Amino acid sequence: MSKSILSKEAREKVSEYQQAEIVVGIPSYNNVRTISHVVRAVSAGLVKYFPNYRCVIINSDGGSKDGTPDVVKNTMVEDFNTILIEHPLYPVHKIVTPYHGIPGKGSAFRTIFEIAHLLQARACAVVDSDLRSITPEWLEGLIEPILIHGFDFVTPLYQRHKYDGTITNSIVYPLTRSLYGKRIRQPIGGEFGISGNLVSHFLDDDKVYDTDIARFGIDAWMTTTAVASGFKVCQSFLGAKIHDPKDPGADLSSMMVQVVGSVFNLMETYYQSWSKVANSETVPEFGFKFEVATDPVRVNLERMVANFNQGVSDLNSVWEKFLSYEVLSGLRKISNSNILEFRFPKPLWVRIIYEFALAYHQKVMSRHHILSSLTPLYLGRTASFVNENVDSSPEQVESDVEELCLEFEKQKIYLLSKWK
Amino acid sequence: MRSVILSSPFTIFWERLKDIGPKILEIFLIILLGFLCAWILKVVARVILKIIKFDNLCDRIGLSTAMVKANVKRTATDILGLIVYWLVIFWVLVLSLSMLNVQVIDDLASSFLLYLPHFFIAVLVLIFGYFFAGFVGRALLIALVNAQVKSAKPISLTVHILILILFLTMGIEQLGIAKGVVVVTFSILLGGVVLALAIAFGLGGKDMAKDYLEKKTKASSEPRKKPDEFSHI
Repeated sequence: MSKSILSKEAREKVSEYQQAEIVVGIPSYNNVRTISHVVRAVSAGLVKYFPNYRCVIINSDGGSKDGTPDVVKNTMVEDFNTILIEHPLYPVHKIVTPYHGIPGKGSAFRTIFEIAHLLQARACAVVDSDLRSITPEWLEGLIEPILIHGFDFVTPLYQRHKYDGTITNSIVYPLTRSLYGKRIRQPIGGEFGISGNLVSHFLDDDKVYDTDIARFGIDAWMTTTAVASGFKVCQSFLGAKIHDPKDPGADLSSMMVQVVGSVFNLMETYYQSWSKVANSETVPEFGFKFEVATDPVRVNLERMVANFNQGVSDLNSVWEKFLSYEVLSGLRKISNSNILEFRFPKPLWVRIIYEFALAYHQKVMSRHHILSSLTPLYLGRTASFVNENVDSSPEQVESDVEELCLEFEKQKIYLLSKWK
Repeated sequence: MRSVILSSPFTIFWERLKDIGPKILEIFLIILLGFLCAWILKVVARVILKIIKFDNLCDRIGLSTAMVKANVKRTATDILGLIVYWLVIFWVLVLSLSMLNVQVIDDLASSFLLYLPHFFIAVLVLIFGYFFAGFVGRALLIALVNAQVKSAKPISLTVHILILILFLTMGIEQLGIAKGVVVVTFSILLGGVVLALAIAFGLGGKDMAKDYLEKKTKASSEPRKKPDEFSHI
């Protein structure tokens, strides 16, 4: 492990607590509206399901200006008697610390991992601070598979709105599944359970925290590293995922660059691992699955299709440098069609993702340009997904995603044949 | 008598050699030192370029890709290091020749020596400008398309061409070709474009400008059109 990035106060707290079996990390940045609920749910989950363990909650904050750290310090569970059968042996401690490094979730996680490592934690869980739907049961779902069943990495399974998580559904899940052969449904879910061994492994490679992985890419990096390095991975059903509305100004393009860039970047690192994988297999699942009603969401199809059409007409000079003739003519064929009848065929989409991955690998131009030029195509595919599933039930949407995954697996041979 | 006739050319040769000998030795030493200095400067240049991540910059603007396509096996840092190396060697050779004190060589060497850096800088400026213009033009095009700006293509093309003209002017100025004319032409061209745009927008597009400003002020007082509510990740 490299030089410590912890603040003096955090180091003092670590010396005071000395050891903890369970560490729960909550990265935050201006989450005053939801953080109190998250901290209470985490505290309740720890005392309810792990009363005989030493537990520490860490809030790793990115310099919030709305008083988020103060809220964390002052939040307590009012009455444990309503949820407890037995009283906890140890109090749940809290460490509230700012993180250092590139602003982003990855840097916050690095601080959490370092504290977990110093406290010799057997299990570490991380949960987002903007969650509205987190319950104490989430902690059981994320930590129990590690402490009781010996798993190293627990990824979440959620009940989400059928249009939610479109980058996950159309790129990250099918791509990581076809590459690494594990059907991890939410590879960039945001909530994870991690064993002490894997925490140490994550800290070994300190250079990654200076890249885009330190921002949105940390989730993809953790999942891929765990799978490609042979750690035991499972999934745990947590229920509905509802979080605070994201900042509408958040740039989709930069999100794409960071998330998809991280997955493409990891393809370079783990080529030896994914090139040998031919099929995919399920991973063990924990938790009791149940249906949850989700609120309807507003989708601006017109804007998405317009962006796609503009991309096809204006970005041809960029794409022709790395997309094949078949793909370009396929795109021209589907552009300018009626909005409600707009369809983006799955085989075409898969070929596009693989050709983008190849262009990224071969550095045919600035990697940032390659990735940001994917945005109009992604919006086109998302519009098509919405059109295809207007009346679909959650099961039908899931089988639609499954179809896409199989297409990714089918065309993987194309990717391998072009990868030099 | 015969021996004197035979030995006199050798004597003269020997006398001349005695005159030139130390100079040849000096030249030899200068060349030797020059090679050493060139090597040191090459290493220093490469270290500096690595520190400022010059190769990353070349990757970003597409220069590295162009070099790979042209089957150039070396990195941009290596090539710049080599340019520094051979420039120093060349300079040392000219300097050593000037030790012979031959006027023609002196004049030729000094004028060539003074012009050579300009030539190299001009070539570098043109190469860098070509790729930089392409990089900025493409970045702007993608950003404008992602922001759904309708005139993304003409705007990015204009910026691309303006950057190309700027670097071309800089390169030609370095070469010393019609210095004043190039700068004046560029200024007139740029000023003309800006003036034409201003007039076009002010006269031809005054209604459009009015509508735009009205929409802007109205938009700020009215709630914005709501964005999509689903989460992408």
